[in-house]
Amino acid sequence: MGTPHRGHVRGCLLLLVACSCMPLGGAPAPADGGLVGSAGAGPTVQVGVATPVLPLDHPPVVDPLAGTASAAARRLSVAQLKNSLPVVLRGHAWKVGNADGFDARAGTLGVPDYVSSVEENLESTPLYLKFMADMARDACNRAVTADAVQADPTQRAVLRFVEPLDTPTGSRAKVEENLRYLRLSFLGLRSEGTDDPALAQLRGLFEQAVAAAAGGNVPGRAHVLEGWRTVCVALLTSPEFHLY
Amino acid sequence: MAPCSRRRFLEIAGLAGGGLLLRPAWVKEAWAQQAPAEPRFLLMVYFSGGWDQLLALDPRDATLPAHQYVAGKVPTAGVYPAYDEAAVRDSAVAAVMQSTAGKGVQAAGGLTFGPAVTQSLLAHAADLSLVRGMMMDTLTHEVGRRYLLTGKFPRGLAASGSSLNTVVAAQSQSVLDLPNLVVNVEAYNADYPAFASPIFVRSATDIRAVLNPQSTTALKGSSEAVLEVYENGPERCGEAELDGEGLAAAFRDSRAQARKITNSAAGALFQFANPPPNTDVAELFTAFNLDPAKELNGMKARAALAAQALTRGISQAVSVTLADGLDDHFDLPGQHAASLSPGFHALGLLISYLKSKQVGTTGKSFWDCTTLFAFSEFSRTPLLNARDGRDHHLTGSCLVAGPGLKRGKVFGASTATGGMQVSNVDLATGLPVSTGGVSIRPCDVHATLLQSMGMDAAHLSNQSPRLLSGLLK
Repeated sequence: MGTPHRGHVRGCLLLLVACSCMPLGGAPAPADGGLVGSAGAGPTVQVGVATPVLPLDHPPVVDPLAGTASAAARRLSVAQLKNSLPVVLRGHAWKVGNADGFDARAGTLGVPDYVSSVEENLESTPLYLKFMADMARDACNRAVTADAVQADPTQRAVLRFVEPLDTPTGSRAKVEENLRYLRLSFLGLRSEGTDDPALAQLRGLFEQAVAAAAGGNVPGRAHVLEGWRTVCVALLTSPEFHLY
Repeated sequence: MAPCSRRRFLEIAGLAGGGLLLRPAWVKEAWAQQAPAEPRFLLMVYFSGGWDQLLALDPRDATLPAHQYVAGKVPTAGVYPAYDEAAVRDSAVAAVMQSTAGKGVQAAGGLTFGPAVTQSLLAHAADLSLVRGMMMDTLTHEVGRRYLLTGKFPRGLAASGSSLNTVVAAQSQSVLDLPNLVVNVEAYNADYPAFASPIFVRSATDIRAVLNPQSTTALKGSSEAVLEVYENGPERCGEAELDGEGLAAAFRDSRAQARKITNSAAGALFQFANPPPNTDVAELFTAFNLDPAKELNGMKARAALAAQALTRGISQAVSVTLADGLDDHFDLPGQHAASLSPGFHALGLLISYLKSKQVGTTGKSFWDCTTLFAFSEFSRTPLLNARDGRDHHLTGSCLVAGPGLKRGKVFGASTATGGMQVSNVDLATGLPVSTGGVSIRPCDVHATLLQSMGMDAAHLSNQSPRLLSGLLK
């Protein structure tokens, strides 16, 4: 926390002086309900909704982050990620061998052991992103593979509004709806209308992944599933998933 | 004057949370223009816990009356080496006491070392230099450690600035797989690009996990190619909202760097197993006299890991902890040398290995191109406490070497009397002076090492570092 501005303290003192100069029962209140010093008594301090208190010589305050939704973004911790993944992927998690991936890689990911370290480094380092790439590929593979044989779409994590045979060109509306759902489910971002650039980028990724997997042939079930795996990995390795 | 909100003020002061990878333009410009032409490697070796420099880098003659209890009185020099007490419990120290006629001081390469320093390191003494009488300004483990890692005095317990290994990896503009490898020690990247960020590992197993993708089949190669194009595409609105302090941009940089890390061919170099699975690893085990049945988690294995990373084109800078558990407040003579010696032995083997390997077609060995900085967070009191241990002491020492440094040089000194206090020295000679001298600080050592490597030390400017010019060639 910073120390109080000297200017701030000076402003408060001036305010006290101005108040002490006010005539008793005299001056009319301004329209916005603020205080007004007595007429001709020197500088006045107008305080109100439209005029927040500032030191008299303070320049106008301009917020350089105006328009930015998140003022102090930070990265999810490993514990938050570990708890989030099964929620997003309907029970599927990252596995390394038979162990939970976050537990297996805890030391390398910087989880404090309270012997040599007591706080977690929340930087998005290349090492962290390498393991998050492993996490995304493993977890998405499990989720999509399970979805492909799950008859009830409400129980699926990734193929919520599509079927494994719904191709990008043959079922465009369903693909669009599923992409909107995934952005909302994974990232908490709602895509409104038909011209959301982020949604268009994701749609392009899905189409290109399916086409690349099909290698020029008519896309089939396996190629569509590969497209959804790719979309899932893209979402789980995006800044919007890890930062808040 | 430009408008300045409290938020903007905090940004400028570098105190805003979350923007840990701020990249000030002046830093990038300063170092980017000075990438050294010759290969330069950095080896940082940490001895954890605060070493007894009497047993290590700043010994005293145990036969002098000033260093002995006479008639029950405290040694007049304020120093009690306690080598005899250590020799009773440690056969290696006993052997040194025998060979030095009870003095405990080993002379090699124009330098002197305590009895815990092993022959494997003494063999390289002529290539090393010692800095003694370094003022640590702290008796706190975390503060001392972070001070020596970054060259900047920490803010409370929090490290200030980037660690030396990060600085070197960045200024080398390294394109190696893991430019900045860190084995069981802390490291920091405050304001350098993602490629120079430390890669933390605890063992060879961890390095394989870093270098190898967990699966090569989860996504097809065609999907990976499409995904990489997507990742490098224009910033999305959701990202921009999170990027007020550069966090999203740093995330993208790191994600791109992470793709380059994965190199399963390099991973094979770190298959430390019993029996060794390939000739590369077998040769390494032989060079370090490593018994894979018992020693894969020991200090020699860590040294071997560091050697492999440096000599096989994996890393530009390697930091490694080669000794643990040195914080002996109790019964120091009984255990300290046994904790210290394996670290010096591993370091000696590591130097031997670096000398045996050539850097490409340069005709130079890796040792010829490596700068060494071996340190502990502070030293220990020159007198034993009531529990036969040694407590924390402000006067430190460190071991340095490198192509830009003089060899066989002792720079600085602790006082001969008064209990090993810091001596003010002449920076041009490293000799103690009674007037006009200055004390040596970690930032001075950092600036000198960087200067010797042809690198910039502008990031240390707020510490007002002084070059130890008497150490420089």
